[in-house]
Amino acid sequence: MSIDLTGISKRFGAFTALDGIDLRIGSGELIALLGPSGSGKTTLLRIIAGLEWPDSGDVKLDGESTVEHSVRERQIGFVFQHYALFRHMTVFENVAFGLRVRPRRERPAEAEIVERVQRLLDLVQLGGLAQRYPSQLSGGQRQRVALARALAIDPRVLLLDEPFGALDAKVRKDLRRWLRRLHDQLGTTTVFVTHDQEEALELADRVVVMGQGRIEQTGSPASVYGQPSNPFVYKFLGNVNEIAGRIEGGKVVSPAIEVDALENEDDIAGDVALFVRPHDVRLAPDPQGPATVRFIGVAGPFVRVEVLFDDQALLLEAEIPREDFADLSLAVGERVRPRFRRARLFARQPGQFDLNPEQVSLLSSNL
Amino acid sequence: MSAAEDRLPPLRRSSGSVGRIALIVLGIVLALLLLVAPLAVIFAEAFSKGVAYYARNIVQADTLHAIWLTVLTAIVVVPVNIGFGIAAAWAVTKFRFPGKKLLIALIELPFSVSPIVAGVIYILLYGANGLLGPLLADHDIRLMFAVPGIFLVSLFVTSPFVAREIIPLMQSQGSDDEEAATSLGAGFWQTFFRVTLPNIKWALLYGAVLCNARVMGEFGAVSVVSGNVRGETNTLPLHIELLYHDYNAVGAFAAATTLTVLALVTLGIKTLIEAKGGGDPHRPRH
Repeated sequence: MSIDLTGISKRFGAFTALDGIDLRIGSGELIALLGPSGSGKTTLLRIIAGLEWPDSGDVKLDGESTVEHSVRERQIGFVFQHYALFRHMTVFENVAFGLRVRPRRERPAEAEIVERVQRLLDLVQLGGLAQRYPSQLSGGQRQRVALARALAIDPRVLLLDEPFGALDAKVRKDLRRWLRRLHDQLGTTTVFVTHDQEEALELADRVVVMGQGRIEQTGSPASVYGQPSNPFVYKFLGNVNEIAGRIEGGKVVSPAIEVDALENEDDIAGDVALFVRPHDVRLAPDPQGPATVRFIGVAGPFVRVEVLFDDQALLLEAEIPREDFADLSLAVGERVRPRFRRARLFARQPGQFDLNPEQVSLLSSNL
Repeated sequence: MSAAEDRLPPLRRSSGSVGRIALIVLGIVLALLLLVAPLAVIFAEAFSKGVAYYARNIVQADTLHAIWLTVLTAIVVVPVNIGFGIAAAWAVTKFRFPGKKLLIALIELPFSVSPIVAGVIYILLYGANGLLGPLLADHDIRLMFAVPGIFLVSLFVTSPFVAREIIPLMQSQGSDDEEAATSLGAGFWQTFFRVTLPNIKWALLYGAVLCNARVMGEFGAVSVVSGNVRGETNTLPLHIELLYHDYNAVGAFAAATTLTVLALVTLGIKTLIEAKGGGDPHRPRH
């Protein structure tokens, strides 16, 4: 089932939740709507489901407009952020709900309901818990019941609102991989909403990055991470060093840092914003270097090093693999020469690099 | 968390035990003084001239009629106010609309209006000399100083009870369950009976019990509109007062015992329903 969104706009009072969204989702795709809170991603999901109505624009399912169809008629499986399981029903009855409420002539016989529910519970690996109540389940189990319940109506599209938001880190990771396998097995067109870039990049076929009611970029996880089309996407997908730079003749002339690869130097010249991921910063000990190591954090897979340039205007964050760090043998206070393996250029935004006096004094006092 | 709490040492048992015992004693004494003693007095006074005398007072035609009228009022008023409470709570918790705050305030209005004033308002509206009096008289409808008036003021006085109980609950539950049900294909009534109603049933039951107790015990508003016609528009509370002013203390207390028994029956029904819901993990625990 393909989904076509054209010109979707939605306002809540003075707040513009969605502002002219156009998006085509192919049949069988697994799509992530990624964005910070307030970016409109959940509103868009609810509009696809029919739980919310757009002020303008159209939602087409397999080419057929759904604006006339209520949520009840759309046959869309929706998994709520907090699962919305019916607390007074057993797991079995929760999953059977969508079958039991069908009009009598479409309703399957009791034996068939039992069989289908059991098959779905086996699919989500909860076969033994059919008679439990939701309050007797863990978060991950509730999530899977919600999924089985949504799948029971043979949904044409599966929509999930922050599906892993309420789970702890370990369960979240397991469930994420399990959901990917389940999608590959069922092939149902699936859209999920998340604010967690790692989740979106790992799970989705295609990531739709949203900000302030608009789509900022759409593409495969590799392409949105590798070629962010604007500063918002770049910043949202990971940590970033933002540096005021100057480009002349395709070369960085300021700051005096060597850059191995400028990713889009053709497009921009003059005063620019240089975006560098911390893991693309390399440091070499150098008594004549322009910067000093200010902080070293050794916990985690990478060693986090902060260096401050002598003119105090630039604080740089570097993430260095543990083995490389051991070879460097850096210490706080030591002088270093940074190098960028790659950097991306964007036009400078007004006021982007205006340090206020407070920040300047903070930088110098912490040294 | 609870496991950790279980392992906590019995904190300050020595210093706390005096305070704890004092509190328990205080609780028992107050319960005896304020609840048990008055109840005991009612029954003691009612039976002070023997069981036969008591029974004679109860089977008096006027007393029997008062009992019937009280029960009838409850039978009429409680279901209407359950319906009103659910509809009002549904409206203010599941929808966004202008004037919602005003509606919530209006629902609670009967709580802040003195019942006597409520009764007087009804007289001024529906009485013979009231605003709508001539219109009603033209159609030969008599509301005030008649049974319908008792129903009306009872409805007014007890209308917030059910709504007040379920509005906070429905607010905290949000609309997710209803949206889930609808997305699974359930229609409005299916959603209501299979999802909404089970979610609020304990609060609803409690609201209905409170509503029922107030209907049966209501004195002020009913005394204004009933006209106190023995054997016609006298409810139990009014009848008790009449008997008492007739210097028939035993009769008054005998009638009072029937009101007490009605209250106990209500409580018993509530307990029974809750016990039947024993398998429900969301049954309120006391």
